[in-house]
Amino acid sequence: MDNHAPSALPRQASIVFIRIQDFARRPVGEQAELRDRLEHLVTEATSLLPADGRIVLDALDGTAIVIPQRPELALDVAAAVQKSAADLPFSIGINYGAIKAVSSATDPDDTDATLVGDGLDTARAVAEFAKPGRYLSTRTFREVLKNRAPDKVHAFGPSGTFTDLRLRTHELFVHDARFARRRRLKLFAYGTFGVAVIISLGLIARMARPDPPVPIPPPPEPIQPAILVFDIKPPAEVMLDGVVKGKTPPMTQLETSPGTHTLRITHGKFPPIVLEMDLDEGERATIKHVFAAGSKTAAAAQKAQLSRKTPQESGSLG
Amino acid sequence: MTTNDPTAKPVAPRQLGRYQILSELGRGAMGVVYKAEDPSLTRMVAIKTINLAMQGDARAEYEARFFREAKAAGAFNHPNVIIIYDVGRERDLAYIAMELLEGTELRDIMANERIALASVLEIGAQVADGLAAAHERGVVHRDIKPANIMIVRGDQVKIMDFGIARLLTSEEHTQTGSLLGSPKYMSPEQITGRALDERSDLFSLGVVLYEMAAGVAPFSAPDVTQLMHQIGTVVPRPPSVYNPAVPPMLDLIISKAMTKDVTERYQNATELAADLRACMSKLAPDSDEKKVGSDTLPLEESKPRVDSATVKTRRSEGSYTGKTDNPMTLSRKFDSTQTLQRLSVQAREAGTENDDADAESEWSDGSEGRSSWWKNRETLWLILAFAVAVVVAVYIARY
Repeated sequence: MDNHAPSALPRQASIVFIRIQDFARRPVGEQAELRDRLEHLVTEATSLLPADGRIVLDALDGTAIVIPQRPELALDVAAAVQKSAADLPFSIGINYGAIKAVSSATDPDDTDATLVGDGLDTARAVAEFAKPGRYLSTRTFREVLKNRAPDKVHAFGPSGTFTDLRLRTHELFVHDARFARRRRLKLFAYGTFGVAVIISLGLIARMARPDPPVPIPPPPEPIQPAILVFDIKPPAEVMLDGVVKGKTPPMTQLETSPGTHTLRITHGKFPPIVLEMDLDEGERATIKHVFAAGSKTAAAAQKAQLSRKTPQESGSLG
Repeated sequence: MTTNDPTAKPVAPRQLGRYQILSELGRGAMGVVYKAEDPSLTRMVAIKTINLAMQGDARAEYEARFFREAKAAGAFNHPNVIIIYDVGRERDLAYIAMELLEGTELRDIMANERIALASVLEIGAQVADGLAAAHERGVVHRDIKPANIMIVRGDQVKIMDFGIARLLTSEEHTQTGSLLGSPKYMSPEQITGRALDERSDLFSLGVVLYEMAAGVAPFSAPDVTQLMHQIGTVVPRPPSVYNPAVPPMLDLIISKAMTKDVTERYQNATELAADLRACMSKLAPDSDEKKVGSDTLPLEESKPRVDSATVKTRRSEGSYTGKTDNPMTLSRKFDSTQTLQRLSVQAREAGTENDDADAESEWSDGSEGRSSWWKNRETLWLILAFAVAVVVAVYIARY
């Protein structure tokens, strides 16, 4: 037509074609009824889309919904139709392909205004291969969906390769929720296995690691003996806790363990000196005594001098 | 077989058999039609003559076939079929005496006015009735077209030239393989010379219905070859595209009648008539104009309905746009014009501003980009699970 605007370039869009199966062979009354049902379904399904975001085209045996944007919306539309048309002989084909607007820019009532393109023809051909209640998609649509909404692509599984009436071959994918479930199970299995492997590696690493050296407890501090220093004249025999330790001199001092001890110093017939001592660790106790004539009494004997020094004092005093 | 030369003007006989020739009514490819009187019954008849001026076996074969078909056509009587009274031969002229009709050919009505939908359905149903009666007796018309449908007494349809219309052309083809006349109303099997049955007539009636409903012929081309190609391959757009008043059911009826595959077409005229009447019953009473042929609607004063579809129909002269064999049409139920125009303008701008057509459009979905695996929740969950497992494993390993 003369008033047709210059031809527009083709562009890509998603196309959902809903086909009434065996349409041509049905009586016209049934055809009309099925077309009414289809129209109703399309009304419901396209309510998901913005009014300026879709183009609805009628073919004799079905309806095409063209969605220029967001391929995932095409999937939503197909799912909505599929859900409502469970008992109807409708099959659905989805494609992503070239379309071209053929319309008049000056005449909005142009009866020739429409869309054409291989994208439409392919969607229509694909719908012919779909069984009722199922929808098939082309590989192109699946790839586009994979990029745009990868979550939704897993419900498509391979359906086979089909040849249409124009001898074009289509690799098609069928939509089935079982594919997604199967994939989720597989992922879950892989995930569980992966997690188990990772944690096992951690355990192996843990077991393979040499045990850390057992900390050696610091040796106990040596108990400093208490020292008994004798300044006894004349020489006397020293017994400590009933054990003879020797004579002093030559013994000038005696080391013993801290604690309570009984020291007995005897010289001849002089009454022995008996001292009950509670010695501290490192304590230095000096026993000074002279056995003399005047000390033959027990009382005198007890006058032995005992001077004690703490270890610190012992240290500082030499 | 040779064919008659329709331009050769035969000498008008004064009498054919017992019939007195009164005047010439018209001429066609087959011969001349005269108005005549049957003196034995004092009844006016129409005499259609067919020239048998051919040689030898061809003449004998044709003559035998002519009488066989004419007798078959005359063997039944139906209100929607012109009545054949007699057949005969006078030297090189075979003739048929038939009912003299006073009415208007559908061709003339279609040329002068837009036919009301109720009338379209009524005419179609009556033609189908007539065809059903003929088909029951094994008679195929072979040339259903508006010129062979007469509207008499305002509302009665009469099918003319029954069974003999295409005799001369011997299955439509001449020796050179070309078609005689326009194949505009022929069925796909007819133009390809295949065997015909009654379903061929139903296709032709579908074409007539289409033209009445849409106001435009479904197939239109500058030459016979292109026309034949269209008949064989093109599915015309629904009549409702050109005439929005056409109900969806009539679109479907016409489509089924015009299906290329005979097995998917109406299998008999009775079904077609029933569907047309069912459609008629669903037609809103105020949805239509005056019926064709009514006394109050003189053809000379009738005017086409003024609406955009009518105007366009007249202008476009054919539904076939040449863009594609079987294009889809914008749905009338869903308004998509806004999106379509937006798409058209956008693509056009992309074409003029960027020859590579790779400019980012407002509607660009970016789908050609790299795979966005990170949008996959399942993958993310898996990665998260592995990350947690790694942390746990490291903890186990270290502590």
